[in-house]
Amino acid sequence: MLPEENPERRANEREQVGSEAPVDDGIETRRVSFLEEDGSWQKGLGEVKAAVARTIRDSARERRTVSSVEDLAEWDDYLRYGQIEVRALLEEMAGEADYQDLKCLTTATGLVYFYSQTFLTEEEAARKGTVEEAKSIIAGAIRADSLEKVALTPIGDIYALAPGTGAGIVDALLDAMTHDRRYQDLKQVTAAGEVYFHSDRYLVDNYAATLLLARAGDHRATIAETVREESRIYPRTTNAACFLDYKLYGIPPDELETVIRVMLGKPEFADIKRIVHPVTNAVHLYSERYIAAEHAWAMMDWEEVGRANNP
Amino acid sequence: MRYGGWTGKILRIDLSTGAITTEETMKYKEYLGGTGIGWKVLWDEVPPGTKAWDPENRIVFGVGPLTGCGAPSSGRMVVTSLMPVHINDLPGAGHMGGAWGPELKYAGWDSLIIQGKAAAPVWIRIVDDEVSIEDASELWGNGTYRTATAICTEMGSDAHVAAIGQAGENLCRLSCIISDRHHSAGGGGLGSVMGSKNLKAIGVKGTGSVRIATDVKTWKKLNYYWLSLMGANNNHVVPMNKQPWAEYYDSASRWTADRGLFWGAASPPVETGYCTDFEHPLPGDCPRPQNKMGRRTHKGYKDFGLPGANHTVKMNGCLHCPVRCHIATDVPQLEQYGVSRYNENTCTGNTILSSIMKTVPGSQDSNLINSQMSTNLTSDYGFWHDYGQWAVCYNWAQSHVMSAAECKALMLPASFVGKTPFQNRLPAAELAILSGNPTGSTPYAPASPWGKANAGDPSAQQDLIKLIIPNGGKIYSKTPVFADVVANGPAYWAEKWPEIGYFNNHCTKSLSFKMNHAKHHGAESFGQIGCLINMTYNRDAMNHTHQNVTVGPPLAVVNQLMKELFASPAAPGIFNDPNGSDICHTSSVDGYKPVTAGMAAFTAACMVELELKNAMISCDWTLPAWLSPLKSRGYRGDINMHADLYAAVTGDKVDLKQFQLIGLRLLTLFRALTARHMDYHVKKENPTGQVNMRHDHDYMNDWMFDKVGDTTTGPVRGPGTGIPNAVSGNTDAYPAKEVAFQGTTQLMSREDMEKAKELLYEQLGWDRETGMPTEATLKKLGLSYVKGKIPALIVA
Repeated sequence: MLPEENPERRANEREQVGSEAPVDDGIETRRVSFLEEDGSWQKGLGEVKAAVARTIRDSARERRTVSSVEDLAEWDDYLRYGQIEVRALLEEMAGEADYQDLKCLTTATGLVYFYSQTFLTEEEAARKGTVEEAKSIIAGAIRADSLEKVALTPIGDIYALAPGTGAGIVDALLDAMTHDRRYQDLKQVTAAGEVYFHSDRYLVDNYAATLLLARAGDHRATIAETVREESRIYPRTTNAACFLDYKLYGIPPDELETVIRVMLGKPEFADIKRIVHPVTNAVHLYSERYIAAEHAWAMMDWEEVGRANNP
Repeated sequence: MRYGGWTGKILRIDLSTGAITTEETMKYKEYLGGTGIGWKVLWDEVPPGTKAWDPENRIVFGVGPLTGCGAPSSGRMVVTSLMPVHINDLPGAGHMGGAWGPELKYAGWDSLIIQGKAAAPVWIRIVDDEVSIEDASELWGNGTYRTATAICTEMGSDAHVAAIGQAGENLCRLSCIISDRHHSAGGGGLGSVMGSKNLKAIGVKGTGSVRIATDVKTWKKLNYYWLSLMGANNNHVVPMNKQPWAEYYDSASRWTADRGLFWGAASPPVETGYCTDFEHPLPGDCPRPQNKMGRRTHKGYKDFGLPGANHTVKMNGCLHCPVRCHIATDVPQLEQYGVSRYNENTCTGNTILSSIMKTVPGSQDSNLINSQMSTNLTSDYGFWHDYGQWAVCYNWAQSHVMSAAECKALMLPASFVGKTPFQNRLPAAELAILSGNPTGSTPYAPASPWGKANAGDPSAQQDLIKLIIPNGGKIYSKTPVFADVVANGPAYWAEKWPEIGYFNNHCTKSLSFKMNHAKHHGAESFGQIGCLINMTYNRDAMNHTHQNVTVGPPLAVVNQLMKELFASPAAPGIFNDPNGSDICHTSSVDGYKPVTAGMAAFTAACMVELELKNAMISCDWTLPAWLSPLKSRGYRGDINMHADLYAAVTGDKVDLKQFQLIGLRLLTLFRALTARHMDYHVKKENPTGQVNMRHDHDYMNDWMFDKVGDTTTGPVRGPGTGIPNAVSGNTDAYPAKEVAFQGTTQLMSREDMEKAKELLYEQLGWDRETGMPTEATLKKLGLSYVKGKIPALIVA
């Protein structure tokens, strides 16, 4: 291509998509061809429809429930990867004689579910749809907190989603969700008697543990536990500057130095040691339960200057 | 059988005769493509003792069966030849990204073999089957930018051009080939190999396609699966800082994406963001990368901090690669120097000249501006970075004041004491040009190149590169002594100035591994593993397979996963320690960990994997996916992926063990090729002697072993100097006696490294005394013909 000197050279959506063309397009058809006859997936489309129908009917017959789009998409690679759009497939099936028992319902909030009227009546399906809708709303709230707010969801916030609904019903729904494979990412944690939820798809367990520590407000314990975990797991020293992340650790930045100094003087934190790099002046902490002094020094040195000098 | 992947044709051009011929690819099928074909061509056609610049030398532009197929990271190509940067012109390869390689494939060619020497400058035009040799007299003397523009003007803007700049034309050994503006094949001076053949450029345009053997659905599924196993640049599978979605993090990771971190010069700015939801929520399901993989690595931020982030337009990269390595920058400040504000490159490619500059105090952008000036100039001139080693030598030669003890140890004149190597060695007239005074002493004149470099003035680079690479050749040089050492690389520099060789061998900061070539993830990358890998090659070891695993989940996790693959009774491949020894050191509290058979098996697999990647071709920087970012898989990747992909594309059904045997064939042929050339030079000195690869080739510089004294600091270290030597290249500030690398805690041990070699040779089927493949190994790999050329080197 011509060398780029274009002053209009800017990132745009085309370039972003193009940067991962194999993801979205799978292949650049202009540039590849297939030795084997194409159309194999077209021939298999009947199998995909049959599998989708089987899923909807089995759910209705055996579990007495309705099926979501996500339930159906897992049955075929093309459905899963979006090469075949589930709704379009179902629309096509609606016109075919073999699938006339399959019906669609839309809940009050616009969620769509599918069922077989051979095994569920319209009223029964509607009731099931309402339950599934409630689960979906609860899960959505927890996931949104974990993803968007990077925060734990207090159980009170879940009760508040449906003020007119008794806590017992919400608790029953939460209990049912623990057995539902669609909601296995939802985790419950407890601190000082308070119950919280998070989605480990967006907010993992150890991050949640740190948030709980920060919520408790014991800054010295927050730092010490973080340092001990890093010394134990990786093992590595912890650059004290990381605790300037107020949103995560809850330590006012102007208090950090004092908190560390006081912590180092307490017998319960005697295993925590402080070292300073003589070139960068970075402060590192480590737990001598897991790391020897000389090794801690060496790791800090590698982190501060060694790695950069060894490209 | 009709295979997919290959086009079936190889193009050969003899520049001496002008002959353009076609050959069947399938005669090389056992060597796949890329360097595999390259090694075979060099073995068959280039006699030992041939010099890189001889017309008899071949330069092979290779692609492979995967090139252009659309699979992740399949857009690269390799250039194989003898390397002029090496004293004995040993064989090697350079690797180039972009889109030139796929375009050659679309034009219908699996390789391009060039031999001979044109009588006058030429360029090669390839449009599918139409191939011609064109006059390049008007292009000669230009940089790669103008050359590419001129050729694209003629061929069309969709052509891709690989060209040399003034460095290659003028036979600078530190020269590379540039395509698509900033993609380079360095490989030990390959630009000058083209220059020696009077070959300025190769323009390619193809309208064909790559045939895939499997069906569409299987192909898509395989690609999605592979994508799900890929992390960020270097296949780093955890983020670099603590993020809510990630169980682990590692500050060394190139997975930099984060909320609030933007491609700041994009319009509008693009947030890299969190990378959640790349694991499919349904249990047992195949994960899919739902986030933008191309945003995971923000190299502008990784390399240059916030100034880099603010000047980054986007991350760019090779055709068909979801992982974007190149930083595309917009630095308006460059326009005042007459240089384009738009540039791109990555890693050491950005710092070839800026490494010899000082940063302007208080200027946040200074480092970035200088780096982008550097990438602009060096890509245009086609100047090779030698993985940063030449700049380290340069800085040392400019700044180190020789002591009496050093001069005595090096048997240098007493007059050298108290002055730098440049001051001692360069003529007064050259020092006057460089520094503004005939002694080269500081302070330098502000308007001199060195004065401007010390002030962080980017124009110093423009001055210096004209002195290093004088257009038209050495006779036009204003500083011929300076250019002669600086432009030709540390090996030739050390031949002329012994203190450079001593620095490379003994000093921590030299970055030199052996033979005066650079290390590339050596002892710092899993100790003995990194050392063994760096020993094996004839240039800096372009092997990231081991290095990529050093970053990621905790070492205990990585160690366990690698043991599953290479140290287990159930290990899937041919390299294994069934006794289950450790591979990645998990603790260094108890000090140095001796080498294990598991480490040797892992090393062998990494080396073979590299050969396979350079033959298929697949990117060594982003693959393989031996780890994945998927917590649901316990961070396991899939070691079978390359074999599966190769089988899917070509239809040649191989399993992992068969595939690794192919890789071992290529590695062993490369070994024999190197030995044959080295043996020629041994016999030239001593007709009754012969090379011993274990001792003559597989060694490492003293600075990785020796620790002498512990009181004095200074850059010249090692025996006789009373100066400590620590394996880190980092600091004189460390208060303890030793410095650790990740995984090791001390200097390497000579005795242990000798054992490491033996364990590695055992895995590879090479003789433990000579380091050469045994006769049985050659037979097993279909390389028995090798013995015919070097019978004395092969033991039964």
